[in-house]
Amino acid sequence: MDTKQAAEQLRLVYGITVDPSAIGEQLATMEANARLAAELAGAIDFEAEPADYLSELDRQAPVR
Amino acid sequence: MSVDPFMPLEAAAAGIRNRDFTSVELTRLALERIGTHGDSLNCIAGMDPPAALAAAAEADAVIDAGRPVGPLHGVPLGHKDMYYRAGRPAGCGARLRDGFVPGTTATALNRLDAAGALDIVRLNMVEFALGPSGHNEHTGAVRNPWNTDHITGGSSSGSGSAVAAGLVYGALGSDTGGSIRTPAACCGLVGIKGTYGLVSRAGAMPLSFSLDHVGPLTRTVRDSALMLQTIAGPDPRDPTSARREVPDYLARIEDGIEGLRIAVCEDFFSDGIDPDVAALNAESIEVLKRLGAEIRSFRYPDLDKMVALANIISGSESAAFHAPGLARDWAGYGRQTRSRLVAGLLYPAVSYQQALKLRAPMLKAFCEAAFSQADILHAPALGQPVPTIAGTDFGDAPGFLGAVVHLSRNIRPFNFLGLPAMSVPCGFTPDGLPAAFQLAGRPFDEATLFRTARAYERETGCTGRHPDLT
Repeated sequence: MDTKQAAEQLRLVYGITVDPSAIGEQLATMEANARLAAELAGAIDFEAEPADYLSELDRQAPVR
Repeated sequence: MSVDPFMPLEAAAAGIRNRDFTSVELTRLALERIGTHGDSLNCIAGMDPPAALAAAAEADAVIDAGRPVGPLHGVPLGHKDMYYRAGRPAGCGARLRDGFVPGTTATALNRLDAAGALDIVRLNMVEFALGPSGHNEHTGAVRNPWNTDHITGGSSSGSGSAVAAGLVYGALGSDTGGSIRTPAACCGLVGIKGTYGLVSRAGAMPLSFSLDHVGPLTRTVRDSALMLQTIAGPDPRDPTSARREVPDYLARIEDGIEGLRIAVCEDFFSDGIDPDVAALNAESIEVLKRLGAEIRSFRYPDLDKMVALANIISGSESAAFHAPGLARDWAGYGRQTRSRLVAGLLYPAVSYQQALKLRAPMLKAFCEAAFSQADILHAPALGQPVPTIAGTDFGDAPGFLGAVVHLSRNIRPFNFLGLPAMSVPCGFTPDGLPAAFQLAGRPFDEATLFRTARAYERETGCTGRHPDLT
């Protein structure tokens, strides 16, 4: 997706009009972070790993 | 004992209880100081002095009648202007909230009320709590009492400034990506966000519900424990609230840290750190060692990834909350705020879900690596001396996203993990601005953070200096 396409998506989906030249940094950051999430998610077997974050917080708490 | 604007909250409450002074005297002093310094620090969002004095008189009447009182009885506090109180405006640092009057009261405020605290002033903040520096296009930058050319840090900017300046005896902040710990670090205060779910967010303006934390900024460690104790605990109004009994944080706070294992976080936290900040952090480690702690080195490779994942979560959730507002009134948002929200609107739903799903396994892996060898972690809170207001007025200029993230990068991993984390002052850089280290612990082990910070405070007097505002 280039900035023109991203701006068009924002207009179509959210009704927000932005100048494509003003969203280059946001788009690049989104792409880098999304790529990282995909990579990390791809390396994890979610069926074998804890799925519930709140329960994991509880499990990792020290036993008093 | 006489009234002192910089006395600890705990001492102020004891003084009222013991009738050394009255709540009215204390509140009058606070209001005078707000009148003298509030404008120059730009930390005040709103107040009602007659109501504050009436509440103080009522608190004194309870003491005079010999009725039982709560632990914060009669002490004047102020809070970030995003904690709702039914019938009172909550500006949230935003032009879009002009005239907004909530119909509900935040659980944290209800609990402080029940403990007898007075809520005398609403404190300025970054627009919608979205920013780490303290700038606000609508209300102006809040100023650091240690040097008014410098930032307070954000987004709980007014809380940091007002508590450091001795205008109130403690304040609530909120911490989604560092917004309690950053201003605490910049203003020489103690700031803690407890474990995710420890403190109810009900009635607090939401920013990112998976990462939002409520917590106090105070001038001492014991005050921090006292305030957190007051607001923590299960709440049916917040579905993520942990159903756990809250331990007595003050019970063992003076026990010292002999034999405590402290892991010093390296790599990520020391990358590019300013030498003066690094030296102050190194000194703090030496002090902890001298106090009997076993110090060991800790390296963990995924912390930068946690920052990126936290950005996906906070970006997506804050954008989801604000998308209708952006469509309705684009110009009503500040430039940096709307530019950051746009970044959130661009994330695919799949990325958001992946970031959320990664939280549990990454928490498990981190805790197993860190807490198999240590009881607590130590890291620099900020990697640089407190910057100037002029030097961080990024707006939405090219590079602003990276600059914004850089300011709070050391702090954000603990929001993603949801671990308790605390900022503790550790001296001053050559320009006279505070420096701070950060302690993080196991989930729901805030007591060990308090005990460690208190041992350090007792040894060094790190919270004993106050800014000269004359």
